[in-house]
Amino acid sequence: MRLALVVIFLVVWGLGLFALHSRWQEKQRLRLAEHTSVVATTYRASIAMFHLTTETFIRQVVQRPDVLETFARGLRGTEAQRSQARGELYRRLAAAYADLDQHGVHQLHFHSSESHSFLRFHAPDKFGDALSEIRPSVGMVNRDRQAIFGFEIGRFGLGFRYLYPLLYQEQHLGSVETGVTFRAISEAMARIDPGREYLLTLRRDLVERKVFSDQRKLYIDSPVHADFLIEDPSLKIPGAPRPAIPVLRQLNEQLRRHAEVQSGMLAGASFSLALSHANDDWAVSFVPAENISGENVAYLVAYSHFPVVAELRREYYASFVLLSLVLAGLAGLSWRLLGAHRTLRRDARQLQAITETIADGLYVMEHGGQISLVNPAFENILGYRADEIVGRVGHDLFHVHDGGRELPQADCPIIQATQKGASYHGEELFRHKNGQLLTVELDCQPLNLPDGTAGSVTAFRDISERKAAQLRLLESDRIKGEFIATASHELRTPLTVIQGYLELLLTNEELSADQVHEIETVVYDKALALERIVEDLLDVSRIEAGRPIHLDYNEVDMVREISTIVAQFRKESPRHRFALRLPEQPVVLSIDKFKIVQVLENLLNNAVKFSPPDTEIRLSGEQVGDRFELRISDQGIGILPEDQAHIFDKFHRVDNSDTAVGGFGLGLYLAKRIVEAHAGELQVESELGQGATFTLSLPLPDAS
Amino acid sequence: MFKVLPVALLTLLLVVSPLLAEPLIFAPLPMETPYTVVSQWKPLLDYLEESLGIELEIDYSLSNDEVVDKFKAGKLDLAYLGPLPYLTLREGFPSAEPVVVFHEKSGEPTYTCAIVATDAARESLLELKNRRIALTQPLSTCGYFAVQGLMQNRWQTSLQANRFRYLGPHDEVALAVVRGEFDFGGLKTAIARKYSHLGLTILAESPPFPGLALVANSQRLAPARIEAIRRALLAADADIRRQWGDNIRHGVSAASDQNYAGMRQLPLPASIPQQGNF
Repeated sequence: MRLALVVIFLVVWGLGLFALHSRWQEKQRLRLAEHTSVVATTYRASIAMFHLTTETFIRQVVQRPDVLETFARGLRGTEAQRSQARGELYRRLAAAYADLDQHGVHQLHFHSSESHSFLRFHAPDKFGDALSEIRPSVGMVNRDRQAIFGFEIGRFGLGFRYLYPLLYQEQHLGSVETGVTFRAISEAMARIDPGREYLLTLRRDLVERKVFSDQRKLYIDSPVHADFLIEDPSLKIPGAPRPAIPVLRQLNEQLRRHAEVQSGMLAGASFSLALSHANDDWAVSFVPAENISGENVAYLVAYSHFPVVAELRREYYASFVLLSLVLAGLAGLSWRLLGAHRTLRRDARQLQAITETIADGLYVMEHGGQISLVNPAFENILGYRADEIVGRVGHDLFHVHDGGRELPQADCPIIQATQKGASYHGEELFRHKNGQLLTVELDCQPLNLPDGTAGSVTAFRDISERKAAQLRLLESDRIKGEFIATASHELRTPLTVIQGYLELLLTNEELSADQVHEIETVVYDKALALERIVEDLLDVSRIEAGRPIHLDYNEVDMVREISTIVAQFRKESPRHRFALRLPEQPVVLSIDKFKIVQVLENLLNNAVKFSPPDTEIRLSGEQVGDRFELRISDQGIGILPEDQAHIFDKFHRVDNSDTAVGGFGLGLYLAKRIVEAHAGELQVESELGQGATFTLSLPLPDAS
Repeated sequence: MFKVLPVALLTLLLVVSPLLAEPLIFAPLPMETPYTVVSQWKPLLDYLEESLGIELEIDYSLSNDEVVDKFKAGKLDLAYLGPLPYLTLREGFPSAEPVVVFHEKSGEPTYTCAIVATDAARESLLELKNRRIALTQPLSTCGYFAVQGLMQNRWQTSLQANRFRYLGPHDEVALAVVRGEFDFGGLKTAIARKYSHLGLTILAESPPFPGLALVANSQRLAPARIEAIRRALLAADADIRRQWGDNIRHGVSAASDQNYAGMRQLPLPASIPQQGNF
């Protein structure tokens, strides 16, 4: 990942540098284009200025009737007459030409209609030569009789020409032209746009073909291109171009080797380029000069200081440094962020592992109470899958308040606490997806969410079983307490009787034998009751210790035993009616007679105890399959459904206030264990107020 | 051996010296417009550069006096001088040594000076007094010197009886007359003829003077170098000379101070005014 970051940084850095460099070059290109445009515009402005000067001169001076008449005379008559007229023309216009010359227009030339030179004011000794071949413009102006303008190389070199046809008395006499030397143009340009040096370089082939032979030596090779010439600046004569300053000579050497210059000049392109010499930047602009036919005949080369190059270079390097620093900073931050991200991801994975592996349920709740995260333990404890719960309001879904009350979320103490930034600890009721209520112990902490709102994270654990165990423990403690109280009472009562009767025997010698016997019988019965209590407790102790109940099996006729017990209960409880319906034939079972009798007595005792007087207690026994079933029904108060589930529990008593004999709460517990020790079953059916029916089922001998 | 050694050393010097020396400075006379003058001389100078392996540089002066002064000051190696400037120079600077004299269009190694006027001004000849006369330069053969002589011989008058002014180049004299700014003008005949198509007429012509010469400064140039230049110019054939200016393309002859012996016999004015009289 970090390698990728380095690669990305390098790529972005490279692209940034490329963009900066392109921007730098583009800016420089635009500034150079401005230079080209300025030079071209200045050149055109200068040409236009001379054009205006010339046009004024032609209209106001040349096209006067007397001048035209003189010119007309010079074109006809004898040679002497023509010479006189030529001299007169020279004389008439000499002063005006001098003034024109002062304005930079150095050439004034009259041509005949046959395009022969008639009079050159700038070279009066040269005349009569044919011009149409060398100077196409002269032929054109005489042919078309339309004024034309443009650069052209003539017998005296190159200049910008302004040609006008001359008509006199509706006759075409010929033409006149003015010419502006490059020096005049460059001086005019310098006045318009100071600060530039100029060089005019002419196409070699045109110069060699057109100028007078004695003029060709005035040209030397162009310092910027082999196919071009310049006027020899070393001649040091008035009007000649100034020698190039040393720095321009150095620049020209660079230009001579510059491929763009060499190809651009041949192609006739306008362009500028930047050069440096001796820590100084220059812009060199190339503007082609076209003749009247649109043919490139020369190049105007303009040199000017170009400090913007240094500015752009500084700007580029500053941007380069800034970009590098910013990117390095970003890369550093990204590097650290990446490290932090890795740590965060590791922490997140660890947190996820923790949340997924901890047994406690965990959920994150947003400000509005919507669940945003749950862990697997949450799903296990409350039965909801994450996709079922996320996004829903947890409080409404699973939070139940005391007694199963529904409480608005705003009133929920957990919500209230976390919205105040406080934590909340406590036990709450959560509802399982299946509706079961769970007691949970939770710890809720406020959580500042990224959007600035306060949410919460809650960890909880299901303590329902622990609570139940606690309840059971409490119940056990309560039962033990009651047992101790009951046992004390149960044990103390027969002991008190025994103690009282024994004191009576010891202190009263006058007791009759019957009385003594009666006392001895009572004491004996109470001793037996104590023994039974102790036996019951021992049985319970054995059962609790995991030891089986000891049974002494005998062949016992259940019909006779039940009848015997019922007969006994009829004597002891005369106010209850006992309806007995048993098989006529003996039903012999292999049982521990003493234990089964104990069960039957317990059941009948309960029936008597919980049945009001004058009610009937019905016993019906019969063989059902391979079992013998005995149903004992009473018409008592019945048993609550919740008590029916615990009625066979140890120490469970339906009516705790009753402390009569057999009120230990062990009777039915032992009865069920004794019956189950015989591979039998003991069940109860009851409706409140409708009495209860206990069904004792014991296997027949073959079955067992 | 001892005879061969100096020749060898001289040859070596001739071969090596151009490589070591600075350009030779040549001054033409400002007889015509600067461009005309330079364009006249540039082909000839190129020829010498190519022939002798030397480098020549033109030093353009605005007057003959300036050329003479520079020559005397040792600033020039070569100069193109007419007879009068030469004699003036030679008087105070014996190191001025004629190399070759240039022939006129006629082929003669001499030239003449002329007094010119337009046809319209010919009537002024009836009374040569208080006329406007254009002259070239004080130190020009065809200037005050020739014109004064012609006026005395032809019309028995003098420049002092008229108004004269120095204009400088010969062609400027011709054109000033054409323009009507002067009634007469004095200039080299060959140059005057170049303006006949402007109605300029030659009224009088002087006897021949020694032709304009290329004069070397023997203080700056070794005799061998001067001789080499002379031989190179004499060796130029017609094809080569055709490239030269029309004032100097018609042939050359070897020159020496003896050429000017006749000139020295002429009655020179006691003094030549350095300024015009109007």
